[in-house]
Amino acid sequence: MSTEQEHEVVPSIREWLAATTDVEIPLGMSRKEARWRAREFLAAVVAGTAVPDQVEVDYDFTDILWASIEELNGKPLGRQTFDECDCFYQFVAALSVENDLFDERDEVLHRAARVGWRSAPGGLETVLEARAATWKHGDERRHREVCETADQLTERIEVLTRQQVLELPEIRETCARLVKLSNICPSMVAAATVAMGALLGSKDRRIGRLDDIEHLKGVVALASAMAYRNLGRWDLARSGYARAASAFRRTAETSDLDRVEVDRLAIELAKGGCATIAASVPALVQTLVVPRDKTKAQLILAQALIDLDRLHDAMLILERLRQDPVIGSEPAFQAWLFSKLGVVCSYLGKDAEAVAAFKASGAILKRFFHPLQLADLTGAVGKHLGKLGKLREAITLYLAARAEFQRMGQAKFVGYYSVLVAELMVLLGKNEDAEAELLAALPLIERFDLKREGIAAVALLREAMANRRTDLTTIRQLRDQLRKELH
Amino acid sequence: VERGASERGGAVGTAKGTTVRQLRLAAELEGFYRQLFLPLVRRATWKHGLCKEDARDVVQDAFVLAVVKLRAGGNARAWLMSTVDHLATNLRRKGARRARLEARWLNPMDESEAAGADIDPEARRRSE
Repeated sequence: MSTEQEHEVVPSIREWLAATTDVEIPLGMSRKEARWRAREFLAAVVAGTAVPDQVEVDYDFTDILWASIEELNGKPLGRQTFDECDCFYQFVAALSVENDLFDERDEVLHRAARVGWRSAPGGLETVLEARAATWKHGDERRHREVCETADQLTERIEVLTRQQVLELPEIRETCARLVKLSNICPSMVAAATVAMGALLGSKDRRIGRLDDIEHLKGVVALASAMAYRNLGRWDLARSGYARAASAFRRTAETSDLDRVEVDRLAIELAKGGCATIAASVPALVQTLVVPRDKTKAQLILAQALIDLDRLHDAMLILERLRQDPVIGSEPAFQAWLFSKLGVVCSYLGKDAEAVAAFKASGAILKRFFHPLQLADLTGAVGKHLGKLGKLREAITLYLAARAEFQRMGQAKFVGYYSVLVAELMVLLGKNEDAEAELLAALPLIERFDLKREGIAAVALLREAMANRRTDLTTIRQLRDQLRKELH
Repeated sequence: VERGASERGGAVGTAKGTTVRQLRLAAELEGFYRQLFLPLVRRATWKHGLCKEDARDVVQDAFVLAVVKLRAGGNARAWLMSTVDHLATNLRRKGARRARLEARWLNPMDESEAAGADIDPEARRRSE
C-alpha cells in the first residue's frame, strides 16, 4: 500500500462523485447548438459587429469558441478562410477571460492560428520555417557578425520604434539577434528587450497576421529571461519564462514551449537544484520535440550529475552526446560538451584525456566567439591545474575567468570564482588575501543565494582563522553573516 | 444536480431548510462544476470529437481514477488533462472499431469506409 498522501483536490473530487451518482449532470450547450451559434458568431466577427469588450465569456460562449474552430476547419483553403481566421484570432485574443484554469483560450487561439496559416498561400510550413530561422545556431559567420554588431542593437530597435509601418522580417531579425546575444551580452539584451516589448505591445501599429505578434512576444520574453538568468536576476528571469510560455501557447507551433522548459532548467542548475534536475530531465527529454532542446537538456543533466559527483553517469551521457548530430552542427554545444568531458576526466584522474578534451574545446572557441563558454573553459582548466597542485597557475586562470564573467555582468560566477581563488590562497598560506577575496565575494553570495559557495566560504574562513589568529572579530562577523544567509 | 450551465442556473439547486454546511457544499460543487468539470467536458468534446454525453462519462472516469492515483505534490491540472485525453482517445478508438465491425457485419463487401474512421480527426488534420 502506498504511503504517499493524496492530492489536495482529491477530497473535492470525492464529494463531486458522491453528489453526482445517479443524477443527470447538465452539460451546457449541445454540440449541434454550439455549431449553429458559432456560424452566427463568426459572421458577426467578420462583419465587425461583435465587439470583444461587450462579450461575457461564460461557459456557453466557450463552447461557441471551440465550435468556431470546427466551423473554420471545415471551410475551403484560401484567402477568405485565412482572413476569417485572422479576424477570429484577433477577437479572441482581445477578450477578457477570467478563471481559465485549463488555458482553453490559448488552445483555441493555437488551433485558429493553425487553420488560418494552413489556408494562407504558402501554407503553414512556410510560416513555421520563417519562424524557425529565429532559433538557428551554428552558422559561425553569422554568429560573428551578430556579436561584432551587438552595440548597434539598441539603435536598431530605436529605428524600428520610429517607423510607421513595421516589416515582419525586420522585427524577426532583431528578435533573433536578441536571442543570440542573450548569452553574450546579457545586460544589453535585458535593456533591449524592454524597448522591444514596448514596441510589440503598442496598439498603434498592427504587426503581422494571426499569431505573428504572439510569436514575437514569446521570442522577446524568452530572450529577456535568458539574459536575466545570465545576470542572476532569478525573479525577472522567471517572469520572462512565464510570459514566453503564455505567448507560445497561443501560436501555431507550440513546440517553442520546449525552449522555455529547457532554459528554465538552467536556473535550477545555477541555484544548486542538481538533484531535481537529475530526477526530472530523463522524463522531460522524452517529451521534447525540438532536437536542439533535447541535446541542451542532456548537457544540463550532465552538468547536474557532475555537481552531484555522479561522474560515471555524466560520462555516459557526454559520450552518447558526442554522436548527436545537433552537437556536430553547433560549435557552442560542442565546446560545452568537450569542456564537461574534460572536467569529468579530470575528476576521474584521467589527466591525458582531460587535457585532450579541454584542448578540443579551446580549438572550437578559438574560431567561434563565445565568451561565456570560454570563461567556463578557463575556469575548468584552472580547476584541473589546481587538482594537479599547480596552484599559482590555477589562480591565474580563475582570475581570468572571473574577469570575463565580470565583463559580461555575470555576477554570480564572479562570487563563485572568488571563493575558488580564496581556497587556493589559503592553501598557499596567503590568508589575508583569501579573507579579502571572501569579503569581496560576500555580497554576491548573499545576493544570488549561492548556498554551496556560502558553505565553502564558511569552511575557508574557519581555515584562515586557524592559520592566522588575528582579526577574529571581522572573521566572526563574516561567518555569522554567512550562517544567517544559509539557514 | 438539477440544472446547469450559465443561463440555466448552475449545477446545484438549493432548497429551504438547508444547513450552512450544505450551502457551503453546494457552493463548492458549483465551483467544481464550473472550474473543473465543464472545461474537461469541453476538452473531451471539442478536442477529441466526442458527443457531450460521452465526454461527461470520460471526465467522470478520470475523476474516479484521480481518487485512486492523484498524489500530493503532483500537477493536478496537467494530470487531469492528460488522463481525459487518454480516456477520450481510447473511447474513440473503441467506437471506431465497433463501427468497423458493424459495417463489416451489415455489408461485408464495403469495409474501406469504416476502416478510415479509426483515424483521430486531429491526427488527420495535422497530416494534411
